[in-house]
Amino acid sequence: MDIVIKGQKDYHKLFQVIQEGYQGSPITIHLYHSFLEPMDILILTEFIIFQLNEEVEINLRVDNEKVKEYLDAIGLFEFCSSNYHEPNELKEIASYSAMPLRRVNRKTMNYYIGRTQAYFQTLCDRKDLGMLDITLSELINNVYDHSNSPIDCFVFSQYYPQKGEIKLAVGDLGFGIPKTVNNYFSNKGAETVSQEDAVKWALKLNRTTQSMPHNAGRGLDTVCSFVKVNNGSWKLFSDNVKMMGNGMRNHFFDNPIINFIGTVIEITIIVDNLEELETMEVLDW
Amino acid sequence: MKIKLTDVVSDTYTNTAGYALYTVLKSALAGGDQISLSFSGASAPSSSFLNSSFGNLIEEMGLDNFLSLVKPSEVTHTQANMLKHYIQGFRSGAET
Repeated sequence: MDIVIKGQKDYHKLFQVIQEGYQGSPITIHLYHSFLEPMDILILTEFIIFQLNEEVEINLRVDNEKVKEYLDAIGLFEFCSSNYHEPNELKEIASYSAMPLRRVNRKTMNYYIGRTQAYFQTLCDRKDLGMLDITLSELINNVYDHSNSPIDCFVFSQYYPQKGEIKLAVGDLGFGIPKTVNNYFSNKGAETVSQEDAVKWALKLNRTTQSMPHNAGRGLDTVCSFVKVNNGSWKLFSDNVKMMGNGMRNHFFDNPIINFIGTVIEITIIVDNLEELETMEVLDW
Repeated sequence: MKIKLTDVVSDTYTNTAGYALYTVLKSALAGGDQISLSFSGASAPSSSFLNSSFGNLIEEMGLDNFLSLVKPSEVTHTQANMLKHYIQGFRSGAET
């Protein structure tokens, strides 16, 4: 089977194959992008991992030579190998000021975030990168608390020195936010809501410590709050919903990628807007 | 009494680490003394970590009591923002 990807809308072909439960001859993905955002990389990775778990062989053909070099450097081609095992050590990709693409779980989260922060700290001297810790940990925890993803969670992060931005993306192939929220409503005997309203609900501050475990439904609210303070931006794709915003204003659209499964969230941190790395003696509540 | 977070937990992201901090704080608070909780050298905490530590204590002892007895110290701006954001959630919840 051949799948041609020329732009974001073509990702629906990947999700359709997952939904239909393809099993058969190898799949060759023909990629014609001239530039890939972290969320593009995660969507491709999730598809590849899902198919490998189904014992379907994947070949990746990349038209643009620079994109090919980039994908090779960040480890995407390695993921296509059926006998691939992630190395225990996480080593930065200095040529692209990026951290390698990784499958991260609760056990490896601390190591991944620590290594990522340590590397980006060398590139963003004296900047308080706590926002990186918080957004990564909230998004990874959300996957494990709520999504029931069959492939765990994938993470990719890169520093763009010319723009002065750090971009990070976390993705899964789980239930998606709208279904998770509506399942929660149904279980409580409440009426379900539209997919857009379900995502809006998930972005609000929820003090539901007794009824929801772990982060008590506060992960996305926290991420939104930090994006707003940083004047950064974020994009969210989940089921039929696409959201883009800067924390202050979040705009909702129909997801242009039909058949979308799970959730991908990409966050852009403006490095200049981060606080200087300094401490205060006592926090006044 | 001063407690250094990095002496108690190896991360500030997980519920497991949060619960470990909860146990230590609960034991220390039994004496009724104010605690200076140093974040020096620690990463910024996640809401999961805070929910299992501060959240559990607040449920047990009340927000005002908690705030009067637990004083974070040596915090970065981001750690301070996260802690205040977390507590704001309790304040907002108390109003609804």
